[in-house]
Amino acid sequence: MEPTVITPLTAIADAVRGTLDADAFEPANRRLRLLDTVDRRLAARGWRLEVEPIAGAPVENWRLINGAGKLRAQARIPHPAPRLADDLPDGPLRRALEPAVWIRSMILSPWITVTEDGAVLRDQDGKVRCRLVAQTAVAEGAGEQRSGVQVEALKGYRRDSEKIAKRIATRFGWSPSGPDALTALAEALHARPEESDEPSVADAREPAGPALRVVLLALLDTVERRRAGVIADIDCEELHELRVAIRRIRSILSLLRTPEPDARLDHARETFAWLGRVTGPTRDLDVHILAWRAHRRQASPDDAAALEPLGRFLMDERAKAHAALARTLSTRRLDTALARWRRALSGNGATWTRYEVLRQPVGDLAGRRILKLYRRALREGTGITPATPAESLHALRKTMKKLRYVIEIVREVYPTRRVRAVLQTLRQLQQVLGDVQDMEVQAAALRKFGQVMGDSGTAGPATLMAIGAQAEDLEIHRAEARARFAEVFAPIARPRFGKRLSALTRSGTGAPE
Amino acid sequence: MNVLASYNIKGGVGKTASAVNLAFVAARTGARVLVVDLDPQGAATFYFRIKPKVKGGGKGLVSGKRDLGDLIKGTDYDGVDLVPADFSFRNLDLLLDAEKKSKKKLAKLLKPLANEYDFILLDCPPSMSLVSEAVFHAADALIVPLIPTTLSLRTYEQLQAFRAEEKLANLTLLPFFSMVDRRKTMHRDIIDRFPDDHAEALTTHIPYASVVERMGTERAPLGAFAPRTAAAAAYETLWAEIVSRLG
Ligand SMILES: Nc1ncnc2c1ncn2[C@@H]1O[C@H](COP(=O)(O)OP(=O)(O)OP(=O)(O)O)[C@@H](O)[C@H]1O
Ligand SMILES: [Mg+2]
Repeated sequence: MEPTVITPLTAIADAVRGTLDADAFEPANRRLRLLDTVDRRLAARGWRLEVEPIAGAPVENWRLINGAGKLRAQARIPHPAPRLADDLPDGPLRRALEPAVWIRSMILSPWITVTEDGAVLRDQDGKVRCRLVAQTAVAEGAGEQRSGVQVEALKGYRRDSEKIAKRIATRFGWSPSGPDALTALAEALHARPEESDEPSVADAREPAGPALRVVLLALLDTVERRRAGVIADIDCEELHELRVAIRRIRSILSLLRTPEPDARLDHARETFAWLGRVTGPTRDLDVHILAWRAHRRQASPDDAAALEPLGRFLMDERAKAHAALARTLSTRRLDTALARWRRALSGNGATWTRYEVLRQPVGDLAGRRILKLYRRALREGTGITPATPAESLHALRKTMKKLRYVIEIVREVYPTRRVRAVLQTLRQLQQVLGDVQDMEVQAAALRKFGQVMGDSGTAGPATLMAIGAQAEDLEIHRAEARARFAEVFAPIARPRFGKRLSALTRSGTGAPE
Repeated sequence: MNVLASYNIKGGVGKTASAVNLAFVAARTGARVLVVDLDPQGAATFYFRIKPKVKGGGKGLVSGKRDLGDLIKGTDYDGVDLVPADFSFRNLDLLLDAEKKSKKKLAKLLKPLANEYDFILLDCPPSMSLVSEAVFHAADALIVPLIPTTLSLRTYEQLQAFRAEEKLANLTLLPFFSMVDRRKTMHRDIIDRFPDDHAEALTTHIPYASVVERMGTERAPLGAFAPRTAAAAAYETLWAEIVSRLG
């Protein structure tokens, strides 16, 4: 990190300017907020999105700055601003943001006051060769603050700025490269725990109970974190990740079949089954909205306009569903249940080795389950022909999901390349099965929405037509996915794949592969 | 990316003043602009206080060994970069001639810059030459400053004829009047009548103003040293009109 600058900038400029002339400019203050997605997609590209209010106007100025500190695009956006790039007015800013932030929400930072003063260094012709900028950025509330000096290079004059930077380093003992104060502050404000959402067992020979307990604890942390994210409605990804964590937990719980009922495990099974159910409706609507957005992006301007009422309808429904979900997630009932589960996980270690099933090596336990699920998938998939009813494919999808989750729980005990290859093959089938089911469900839901909207008079004929067209699109997709089934199932049904899978389950267990 | 060329067969009509001032106002609206000084006289380069000498020069550029991007210099203004004039651009005509498909060469040189700039403004020398042919193939539109005189109009007609002959149907012509003195009857008459036969004409005029001449001593675009003058405002309006015409 840069030191806090105490030397006045004019003194620094004077010390390093050499034959160039230094012109100081007046210190200036700006008050702004930064926007980025939760997973910091803009920062990852070295970009910064600044939002500055415009006095007396119901708009804000959005400025997208690239890694070189240059303005990439800007636009005036009505306040309150949309959270998705998709909903911004069309223009260079939206076109620059869309590929970067995709469907993620953009979240506002606290207010930041930036004080800047600087100097330009000019040659004998008066041409600017480089700029020195001293910046202090202070976040309101949090009290975080960063400052630093930067040498800004101009295209074609890099040599000048390099020379100046070097002189600063030798004279003052610190380097003016690296992120500027505002970027450093943004980094500090956004700091998130570096926890993984995909914990895995690390040693196949460890007893299953204690090994899985650690994974379950990590997943419980994820559940708690994502639960807060869902209540705050930061981004639809929060709910998605919450549901993935719930499924992983349930998959582990199904591994831990004790010979007699275990109150702690049974209670956890109930809690997470219930959580899976209550989070479903909001997630379904999120998926509908994502599909609607994707469809609107491809639609002609007329069709896109006709689709607007559907979007409003979906977002209203989603708001209702989310409000109900947020209430459920904030209940004492859930607090108590999760606290109880945490106690069970962190309590007396001995209870986690009480039964034989908990004492056997986790690699063996998971390996047996993997092979069992694989054999079930083979049975379910082998009979499927183009005439088979969709239900059989849906059943296979469920088995495949379970299979994937078990593999993921122990993935780190397996050789990385091989487990990745297996997962990749499974994923192709999973994708097709997912499309077959999701497209069908979505098309049916769309038709239902159309009916509700038509009945209540919220959709005119053009909108109903557009909804019908979107549903048809989905059905075409479904049919295409259905036709690909045989092609993606074949590699999994091959004896070679079965052998690869069983070799994988033996790796790391000490057994010969 | 839009490639615009400030062009007129006639000299001294305000091509360079337009290229420099329009680049400045365009950047003020948030656009990323590159000015390419194709005139060996290097007037645009001079206005931006940049030294015209370029290593390698035109020869390397045309034969494709050098990247135009390597020649770019940042001006003192955010959003405006410049490819300075080079004395060896003097030989650009000859070089283009020696090169096969020379007409397309400039377009090809500019193409890699498409992601970096919203607008490229070519400041052209006054003449009809291989360079101008290459410009016509590279540009989406020609911004044509006209002094409201009969002679000036005749050169515009020549330009139109050339465009038709060369089948450059995709090349938009955007003529506008520059150095306008409303006190002169001839100026008023010509300006009033011109749009009758030229629907493509822009409606904004740049007035004759001594502050434009001061660009030579200030070595800066108008907006940088005299932002509140009528001429500076006229360039802003002119740019808005150009953008709306590009669609
Ligand atoms: N609107 C104006 N009012 C007064 N003087 C102007 C105006 N526009 C340009 N001039 C002056 O007229 C002269 C020629 O202008 P400029 O260099 O822009 O024309 P040009 O077409 O680029 O010339 P050349 O053909 O030599 O490249 C310059 O001295 C410039 O300062
Ligand atoms: Mg000129």
